[in-house]
Order: sequence, then C-alpha cells, then structure tokens
Amino acid sequence: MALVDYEKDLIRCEKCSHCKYVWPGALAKSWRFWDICPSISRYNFETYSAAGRMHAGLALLRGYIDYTDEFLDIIYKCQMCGACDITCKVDRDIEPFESLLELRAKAVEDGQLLPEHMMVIDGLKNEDNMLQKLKKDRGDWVQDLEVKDLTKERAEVCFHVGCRYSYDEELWHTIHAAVELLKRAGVDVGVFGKEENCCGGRAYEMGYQGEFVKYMESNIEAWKTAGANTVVTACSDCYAAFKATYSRYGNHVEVFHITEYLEKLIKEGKLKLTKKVPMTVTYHDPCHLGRLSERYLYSSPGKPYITEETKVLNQMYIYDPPKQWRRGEDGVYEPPRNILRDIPGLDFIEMERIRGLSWCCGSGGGAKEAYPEFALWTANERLDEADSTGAEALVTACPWCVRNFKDALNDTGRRMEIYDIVDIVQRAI
Amino acid sequence: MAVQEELGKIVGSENVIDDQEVLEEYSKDHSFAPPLKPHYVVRPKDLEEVREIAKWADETLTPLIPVSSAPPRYRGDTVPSVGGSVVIDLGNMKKIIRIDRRNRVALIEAGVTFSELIPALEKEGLRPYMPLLPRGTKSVVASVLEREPTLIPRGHWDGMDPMLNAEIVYPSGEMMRTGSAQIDTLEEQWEHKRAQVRPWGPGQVGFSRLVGGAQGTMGIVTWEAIRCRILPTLQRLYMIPSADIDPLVNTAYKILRHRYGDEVFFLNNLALAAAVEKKPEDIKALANELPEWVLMVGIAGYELFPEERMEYQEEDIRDMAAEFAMVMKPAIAGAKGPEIIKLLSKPSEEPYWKNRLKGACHDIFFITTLDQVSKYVAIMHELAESFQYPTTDIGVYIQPMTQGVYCHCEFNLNCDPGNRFEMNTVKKLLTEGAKVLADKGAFFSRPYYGWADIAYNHISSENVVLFKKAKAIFDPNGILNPGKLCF
Amino acid sequence: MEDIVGPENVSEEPATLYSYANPGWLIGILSGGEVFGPLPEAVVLPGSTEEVQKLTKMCNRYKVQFHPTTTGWAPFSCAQRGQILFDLRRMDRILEIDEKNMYVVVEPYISSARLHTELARRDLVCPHIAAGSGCSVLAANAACIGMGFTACSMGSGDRNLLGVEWVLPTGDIVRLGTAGAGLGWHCIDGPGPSLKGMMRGIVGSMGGLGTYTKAAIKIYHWLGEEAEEVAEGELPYHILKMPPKFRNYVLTFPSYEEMFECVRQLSEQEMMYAASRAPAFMVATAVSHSNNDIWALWEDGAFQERFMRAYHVIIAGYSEREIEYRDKVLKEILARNNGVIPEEVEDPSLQSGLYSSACWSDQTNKYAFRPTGNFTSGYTNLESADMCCDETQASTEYKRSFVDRGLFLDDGDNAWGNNYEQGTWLHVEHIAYYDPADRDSTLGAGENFFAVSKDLRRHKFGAPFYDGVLPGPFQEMGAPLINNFSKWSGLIKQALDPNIIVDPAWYPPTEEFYED
Repeated sequence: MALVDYEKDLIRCEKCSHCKYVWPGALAKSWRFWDICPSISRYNFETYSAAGRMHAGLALLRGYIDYTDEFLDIIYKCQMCGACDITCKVDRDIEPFESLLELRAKAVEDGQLLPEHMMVIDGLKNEDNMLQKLKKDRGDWVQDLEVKDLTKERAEVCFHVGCRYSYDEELWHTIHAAVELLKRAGVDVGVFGKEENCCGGRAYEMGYQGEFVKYMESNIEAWKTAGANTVVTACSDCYAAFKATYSRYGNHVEVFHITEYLEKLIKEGKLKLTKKVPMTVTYHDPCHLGRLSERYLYSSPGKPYITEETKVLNQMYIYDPPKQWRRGEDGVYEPPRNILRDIPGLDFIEMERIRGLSWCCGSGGGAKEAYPEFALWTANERLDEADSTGAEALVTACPWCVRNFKDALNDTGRRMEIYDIVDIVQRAI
Repeated sequence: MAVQEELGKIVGSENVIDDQEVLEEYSKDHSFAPPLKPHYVVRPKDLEEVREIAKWADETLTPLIPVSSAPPRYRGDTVPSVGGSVVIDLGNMKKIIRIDRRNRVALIEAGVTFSELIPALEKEGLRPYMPLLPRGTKSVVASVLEREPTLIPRGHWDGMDPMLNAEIVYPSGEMMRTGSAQIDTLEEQWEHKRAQVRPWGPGQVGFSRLVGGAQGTMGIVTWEAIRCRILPTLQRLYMIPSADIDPLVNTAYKILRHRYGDEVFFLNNLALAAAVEKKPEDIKALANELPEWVLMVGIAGYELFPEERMEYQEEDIRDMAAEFAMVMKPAIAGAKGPEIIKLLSKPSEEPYWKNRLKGACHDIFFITTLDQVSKYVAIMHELAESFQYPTTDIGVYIQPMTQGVYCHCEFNLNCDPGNRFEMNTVKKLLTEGAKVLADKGAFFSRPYYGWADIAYNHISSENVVLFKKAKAIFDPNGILNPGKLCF
Repeated sequence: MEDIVGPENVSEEPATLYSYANPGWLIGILSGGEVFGPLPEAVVLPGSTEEVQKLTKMCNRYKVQFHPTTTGWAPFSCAQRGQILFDLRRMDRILEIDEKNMYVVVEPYISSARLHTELARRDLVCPHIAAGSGCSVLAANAACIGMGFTACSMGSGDRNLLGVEWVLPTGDIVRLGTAGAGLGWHCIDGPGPSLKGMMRGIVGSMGGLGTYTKAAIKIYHWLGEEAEEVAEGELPYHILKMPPKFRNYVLTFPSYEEMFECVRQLSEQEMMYAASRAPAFMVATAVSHSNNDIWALWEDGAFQERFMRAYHVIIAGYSEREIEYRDKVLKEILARNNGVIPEEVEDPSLQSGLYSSACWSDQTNKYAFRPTGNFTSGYTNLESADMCCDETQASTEYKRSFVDRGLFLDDGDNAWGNNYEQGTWLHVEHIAYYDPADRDSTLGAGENFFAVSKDLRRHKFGAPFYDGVLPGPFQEMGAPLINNFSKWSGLIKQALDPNIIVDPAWYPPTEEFYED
C-alpha cells in the first residue's frame, strides 16, 4: 500500500481531534492526564496530531505542498505509538496509523531522509542492528550464561533478545534473568547470540519498508533452520514486529512476549512465585506489547487487509469481506497484570492512561534517535503520571521503555525505580 | 401646537394628553427622582402607532419615555430626566394575544397587568412565574423586561427568564421580533404550530438581552411571549426558621443544587410579617413572634400523582434541612403555609405589602451570591445604625436566581412619608448606603434612581464604552429615556 | 509574533497551514467540493490573555486580520486568506470551580469532557454539546452554538454563560457583568442591559468580534457518582457502566404524533435528565463498531422498523424516592401515548451507547461521521413539539430528492433533535450523510445546504437557525424576511471592529464595511 491508497481516509478525517486525547472522554480521569498524543501535546500545532498529518499528507499528495525541513520534523516528531489509531477507531472506520506509516514510507521513497535516521539505517545495513554498534559484539550479553546456541543446535523455543537488550549492558541482568527463568521452568530454549539479526520493526516504523522486508525474511529463515517453532522475546518492539508487522506480509509467527510465556509457566506450575516483594508499583503498558501488537488477520505482501471498499445505501462504505479492524483490543494487557497481582507482597496501582490508552514512553518511531529531547519529555510526562499514583517503582515490559525512562530519570534527577517485569518475577522466585 | 397635531395624527388626538394634572402624575413616582413633567403623554394602541411615535421622536430628537405599568410606580425609571420629553404609555395595549396551554406560553401586550393576566392564565391551567407579591397594576411585560426576580429558581434558567420572545421597536421605527417569532406573521406561525418559544436570536444578536434591564433606553417592547408554569393540583408552603441565616443558606444551596421545591426564597421576620398581615400593629406583633429568618419552600404536585410528588419532595427536603439541623414547618406563629401559598399566587392585596408598616417603603437591591448575604445584612445594619435608621424597620428579601448561581438581595426600608426627617434618612441610605454596599461588592445590575452612577463607576470603563456603543447602534440619537443609565 | 509568543509558537510552514484549513464539517460544502478551505497566512499559539492582547494590537498596528480558534470542529474555526490564525490551544486551564454557586471559569481550549473529569470528582458536571465533548466549552457557550443532549436539564448555549473576559478587536480587554466589577463571575447581566446580547444570539460571533480568553459557565450536579470502574471491556467494545441513579430508556411509538405528544407531556413534568430524538440510524450506530456492523443490522429492514419512531430519555434522581416517582410518571405517560420500551433496550451495548451519547456526548463521531465520512443538516429548527413533529416528517420527504439521486445515504427518517429547558422548546435537525471523498455527493450536500431554506419557507417552519451560521453575505439573503436582522449584527461588528481587524467572514457586510 502507499499513501495514495489511503486518500479517502485522509479526506474523511474531519478533525474531531479525538486523536489528541483519551477517548471516549468518560475514560479519562483527570485534567492533568488527558492527552494521548505526545506529539501535539509537546508541539501544539494542529499538524502534529494524526489528523494534522493526514491533512498535510493529503496536501502533499495533491501537490499543494512540498517537503521542507520543518515538514520532515512534523512527520518524524511522532513516536508512532498508535494511540491516535485507537481513539480514532472507537468511532471511525479510517486508518490513521496506516496513513502515518505510509507518509513516512513516501518520504523515504522520495529521498527525504532525516540525517539521524540515515545514520541508524546505515548502521542497520552494515551491522544488522539499530544501535550503530558492531555486529560482532551482539552476542557479548551471553557471557557465561549456559544456553543453547541456535547456530549450532536446535531448540523448541528461540529466545529473541533484540538490539536494545543485546547492546545495552545496563539492561543485561533482565535478559539473563529471563533465560534463567525459562530454563528453570524446563523450557527447551536457545539464542542466536551474535548471529541474531534485528527484527526490522523500528526501521519499518521509520519508513524504511524495504530494509524491513530483508530482516523479516532472514529471521523467518533462521527460525526454520533452527527448528524453533516458537519465538519468545522480552522486547515489545520485536514482539510487535514479529506478530503484527510480519503478518502484514502474510507471515504468521508463533511468538510470545516473555510476559505471556511467564504467565503460562506460572499457571502450569512450572514457576512458583513464593518470595515476597514488598514494593508499591505501577505498570506501564508498552505500545508495542499492547495496542500495536495485534496481527493483521487477512493480509498479503503489500496489502495489510485483503478487502475492498464498496458502498451500500448509496453512500455508506463497507468492506467486502468485512475488514478485521486492528483496534488494540487484543493487545497483551492482562498477562503482565496477572503476574504482578500474583507476586506476594506487591502492591500494584494502576495509572490513569492504561491498556490501549497508555501514554507512550517516548522512545519509538525514530524519535529517540532523531529528537532525544522530545523522547525524554514524553518519558517525563509518563513519570509524572507514575509519580501521581504514589508508587515507588514503575514496571514495564520493554527495554526501549526502560532505557528511555532511565534516561529521563538521569536527566531530571527524579526518584523512581524502573524495572522490567522480569526483574520483579525473578525476585519473587 | 404643531407637535400635538403631529402626535394626534399618529394616535388620535384623544390619545395625546397635555392635561396638567395628568402630566403631574407622570412627572413623579414614589422614588426620590426629582419631579419633571413631560410635555405630552401619548397612548398608542398598536405596533404601528408605536413605530410611528418612535420615528417621530427620533426625527425630532424628542426624548421619549416608555411606560407600561399603571401607577403607583416606584423605581424612578419612568420619571423624565430631561425636559421636553414625551411619555409613551403603552398601558392601553392590553391584549392577551394568546394563551397556549400546550406549550406553556402566553403572548401579552405591554399594558397587561398581573391582575389581568393571572385569572386569564388560570382559566387555561397556567400561572405566570411570579415575582414576590407584585402590584396588581404592574405591567407583566415590564416586570419581565426589567429582570425582576421570580420565586421559583428552578424555573429561572437565564437572566432574561421568563421572557421567550419579544417584539421590539427602535427609534428608527424599525421593528424586531426575537427568537422563533422572527419570521412570518403570528397568525401564520400559529397555523403552523409555532409557539414563539425559542428565545435565541435572530442571528448573532441577543436582541432581548439588549433591551432587558435597560429601563426603556434601548427599545420599546410592545409584546412578550413569556414562559408559564402549569397550575399545580396541590401545593404547600413550608417555612424553615432560624435565628442565623447561614444554616438556611446551606439548606437552600442543597435544595437548589438538586432542583427541589418550587418557590424557594428567604424573608426576614419583618418582611414575612408584612406579607401576611395588613395592619402595622399586627405586623409588628407577628414580626416579634417570628424567628429572625425564614427560608420559604413551596412544593407542588401536578396532574400526575400529585400526592406522591409532594411526598417525596417533602421527605427529601426534610432530610436536606436536617443535615444542617434545620426543620421544615407548615406554620410559624401567625404565618401559615396554606395562606401564604395562596398569597404568592396573586398580586399583593391592598394596601401594597411594602407600604403596610409605615405607609411607604424604599428598596435597595442588588445581585450577589447566597454565601455573601450575611455579610450584606451586617453591612446594612451598620449603615442603618450610622444613619440612625432603626434596623428593626428593615425588611429583607433574598431570592435565589438562575437556579441558585446568584441571588437578588433586597432591603426594604420602611418609612413614614409624612416624616421628613425619616424620608431624608432613607434617601441618604438609598444613595450613600448604596455606594458603601457597592464598595463592598454589591452588584447593582438594575441601577434605578440614585444607583446608575454608582453602578457604572464600579464597573470597568471598557464596559461603559461597550454600553455606549450598543446605545449608539440602537438609539443613535439618544432619545429613549435619556439620563437613566450611563447615557 | 515571535517576540510576543516565542519562535516555537509561530508557524508559516505550509504543511501546518493546510492542517488548519480542513476542519471537516461543512468545509466541502462551503468550498464548492474542495477538501481544503481557505489557508491562513500563519498560525500563532498565544499562551495568555496578555499575549492575545499584544497580538491583537500588533494586528491593528500592521492592519493584518486574524481569526481566533480553539478545538476547531467546524468551518467557523478557519481563518480566511491573508489572515493570521490564533490557535488558543495553549490556554487550556480550569481557573476556578465554585462548587457552592455552581459555576466554573475556564480558558478557551478546555473541552467539556476534560472539564467533566475534574468536575466529576466534586459531583458536578458541565453540559456537553452534541458536536461532541471534545469541543471547547468556551467556544460552545460564548462564540458558536452550543446545544446538547442534556439541554432539557442543563440548558445550553449562552444561557449557561455567566461571564466572559474578552479581548476586543481593538486590543482592549473587557470583562462583562460582575467580573467587570471585580466581584466574581456569577452574573453577566448589567448594569442595565446585558452585553451578552452583543456577543451572540442563536449563534455567536464565530470568532468575528475578537477573542474570548476566559468564560464562566454554569455547572450542574452530577448524579453519576464516581465509581471504581467507569467501564468494562476493551476499546472499542467497552461498556460504560450506567450510574445507579440513572434510568435509560428508548421509547418507541406507533406514530410521530404520539411520540411528540409523549415528549410534550414528559416535558410538563420537568423530569428528564437527557432527551433526544433517536432516529433508527442513530440507534444502529450507537450499538455498532463498524459500518459493516451497521449494515448487518440495517440490511433486512427489521431494525429500522423497530426503531422507526424512537425517543431516547434518561431520567435520574437525587434519591430513590425521586427516581421511583419519575419512573412511574414516565411509564404512565408512555402508556397514555401507546408507547413501548422495546426489550432490546436492556442490551448492555445499547444502554452503554445511548448513555454515553446523552451524558458524555461521545457518540457524535459514530453517528455523524462514521457511516459515510461526513454529514450535513440544515433542515433544522427549534420550536414547539407539534411543529417539530411536522418538520421531522417533512424533512424526510425533502431529503428523498437527494437520496433518489444517489447523493445522500438512504437511511429514511434521520431527524435527530433534542429538548431544551424541560421541553420549553424542542430541536429538530435532519441528518443527511454524504461522502466527502465523493465529489458529486459533496456538491449535493452543498446544494442541500442552501436549498433547504426554500422548503422550510414553503412549510413556514421558520428560518433555520443556520441563517445565523452561514457566512455574513449569505445572512443578508435571508435577512429581508427576518426584519433585516443582519443589519444590526453588521453594525455591532462595525462598532467593535471599525478597522476590520478580526475576521469579518461570519458577519454581514454593510455599506461602509467593505471597500467594494
């Protein structure tokens, strides 16, 4: 699909502004935590909302405007968090998220590249990762961990670590803990180590669809070769890539997020949470674990939905066959919560914007790479919300979220503990 | 003489009055406005005559003073402030144009009084939203136009309530019908089931609002469509007594917030006694027996399950009052609910209730909020003492308005018209006292004689500029009742 | 401008300008089928009254026109060519909540839903307008239209406006009423006449008389007590939980006359919390989560037969006693008018959809924009129940000519409407759906918008309230029939804005107004 294929949606967006805030309004709980879109919350001009970008995209398609540096900023000062898509689709049959993806893809196709993104993509092309690190160092995290090497052995489960975890040494304890938990539960698990490749998801969301396809095909091949029927990951970005973005191309991967898998193991009695963890925590829903993780149920390469628009009653447009809308309701919301509720001594308080209406951590869509101040501002908004619950710690389930929250804490000197949920589970074993 | 002839051509010579005795009557009222005779009084009978008079006055730059109530009048707004004026008395325009029970609305001409309207409405199962014991000779149109408070806050949605539509004549002779009456003749409207009920517009102008409270300075209203209430099948009045007004204020806040009750207002002992009794000695005696303050709450049942409505309202209001340790009573001493509720549904019986104690009465009233009322009572008492006026002669009436957002706070200064010293004292209280009250936050939204300068000095100059601009639009030659407001 | 608001709050970027040139509703109609309306020259984001004043004075100095806007749902929010757009988004605070005297003072950008989240903690609520609770409270009450589903119990439009802070076209600042005397925000009327009459009538200035930077709005008691859980289920299938003090009904009738008579009688009892005509298509959208869902309901004709003449009523009460009484009265009146409550009303999805529509006004998009992308109305009026009954039926007949040409959705009677101040007057507004991505359909909507006046005149239903909503020159077309009303609004505009600095598009021209 291309932006022009969404032209009707761009026209049919009538600027109700629901893409900017918690919607329906009855689900908002306070004046302070009302907004849902970091981009317009920060930059205020209408064009920084999904509706604004859609209309700018329409003007671009019609040749009324051309690319400028500011227009590129407008396109890319957005974490592609998908909140706008959820609030819009409560009431509308249009595709804001898809439109924004295609606007980026068009910009890339038209050679309108952000220098910061170019550097990241060059790194990806040369070293197969999104952090501009060396490929040869990707497996360093394994250290002395005893785990199957999937380049040499076969295993039922491939534990995909992801670029962030592979290279962010401060976070290695989490993936060490994840592997230990899986092994403890008797899971036949292996890793690719330095041969692991990027999932391609972040590149996709930055508009580099061609690059993404290469990584998708490579990963699918690698899992087949390794005999891994199941992929487990502790990175929500990777999870969404495998489950959702790969399915846009007709590839349905059997993938679990670590929280889903741990929940399963706990239910099966293979892991027992017995130690008290006396802490008051709140939980941040990663965008890519929640609303962005839904599969495209019927799709084919180049076409996320196999359906055609038709009209009934003169003017009402429907889809034939009926479109399987992705509206975030099948995101992974309960497993992390069930785990937290099962941990002895843990006091779990929800924030206001949760589940499909979660406020983004700030890190996605290339924002952390190109607009670090914006990424940190977004994280601080979320930390304010976490603070307001009275919790001493913020727990989440994605290394990009953890990293951005930690960076925001360092930036402001605020006191709040940040954990991945795996860390908490490990404490409870 | 040419003037008289010209006016005679419009309204007929018999309706152009130059009789000195009649002019003397129009030269003054019961306020302290200095008397000034008009040159003529004209009595038009219909819209066309009103338009022609207005045009004539505009063309000849003659000050025109609109009047619609019959005497006695009290506010000074109908007394000419400049010489050479002509009074246009709409008192002969007495048509009750239409009573529409289905839509709870009545269209009445400017000269229709409360005494005339109330029985006519009753026949159709309706009642007006009543002010407190109005004079029978008071024009209903004028009462509504001047934003006189009405007894039922629940039914007071907006400052202009109960006005829905109006027909207004401007000095240019142009006419405006407001709201949904804006287009087609009335007969055509009725034929197509329109009832003149939507108050807004036309367009982007609130025409009704600009003539409301204006003392006839912004336009002449020839008829109004007013919202009416259904005649209750059953009604009772309860009194909630207290020595201190604050718990009653809290009780009222609760009642108003939940839209309970019909009539909800406060009287002090003297005002209540004067409403009930007619003779001075009886008033004093009753006032001595009554508590300092009474919150009056009326409850009604209508066509459907009236007793059940009364029952739940009574029980719930009783509970609300109990939260503040207040108790509802059907009677207190000589003040009995069943009698009072009947009194409230009609104009004041003679003598006019405010004049019963001493023969005359002058009011100071302004807008404030209920939580400020006790402050103003204290200020008023201090003022009275400083002017050596007996505080026991002050009646107080507090009327919550717009469903309780603000209230009309009124002090009745009883006085003996034959006692010059007392009258001078009251006159000073009315003006100097009003200034003190305004300095302390009283908002004189209806600035009658003696208050206009105070009111406009206490509001920003930018407001005054806007008022003058509005005046310049609708009455560019300034002929309508000059000298009353800030123009 | 950068000196006044900071460089980050000024933009001339074309992409940004285009994002302000498509407010959605009506724009295709008013711009001859084009998607975009007029483009502003620049957009500026003031953050305070002082900044608005400085910008206004700057515009006067340089003789540049401007247009103020807030949530921007409708074309009244657009600037015209050559104008600067003041986007008041940064001014979004709640300044004061007076719980006792029941009013709130707000800045321009705050929406009614956002305001409600704060008010609800104090058992208070503000009226939401039918355009949706994402719309600005200040704009609805002070500057635009402002009518909503709860108007029967909470009034609407300027009847809830108690005070305003106003930066005039000259840059002077005025606060009306008690606020102008520094006494609080409780009364906007006086001294003497009410200057609210200069600001608005049935509609407001649409940004044409300067900028309102604060407004005091009347608020009401909220009977939806705060509960731990407001809703259950995931979006968009969530179910809003009805607060225990509410009763939610759809009433259906064998005839239009019986339906409106029932509403008239209910109005006399002064007991409705929310009320609106619920055309069958509206009910269908309330329980659907996609157009395919709507079609599944609609296709065989049974659904619309069931809800052909339906009226939605919510009653609520302070106490159980009050709720029981009102319930009893409603059922008695319903029976007298041969009405029934269909059993589908018990469906949680329908309960949730209609409750959220009436009490949170959050179904507007589903109803107004989901089916085809946009809607038009115009066959609109506010008057007696009897007239609204006739107009409801006539409007359906009128719409047929557009439906038969394939331009509008074929949904039969889609005459929405609500109820004001316990039925003192009612509202009828016929919804006609068109597809903005279909040029013929859009042009048909434009044709309808101006043709509708003729049919209304034919039936003598009165002037549609859109005679106040259309741009200035079009108002003059209808003015001769309406006592030349536009002359006066033109004079007010001229008096307040002699240099024509603020957008004159929504005000009629007068001889001195335009150069040619």
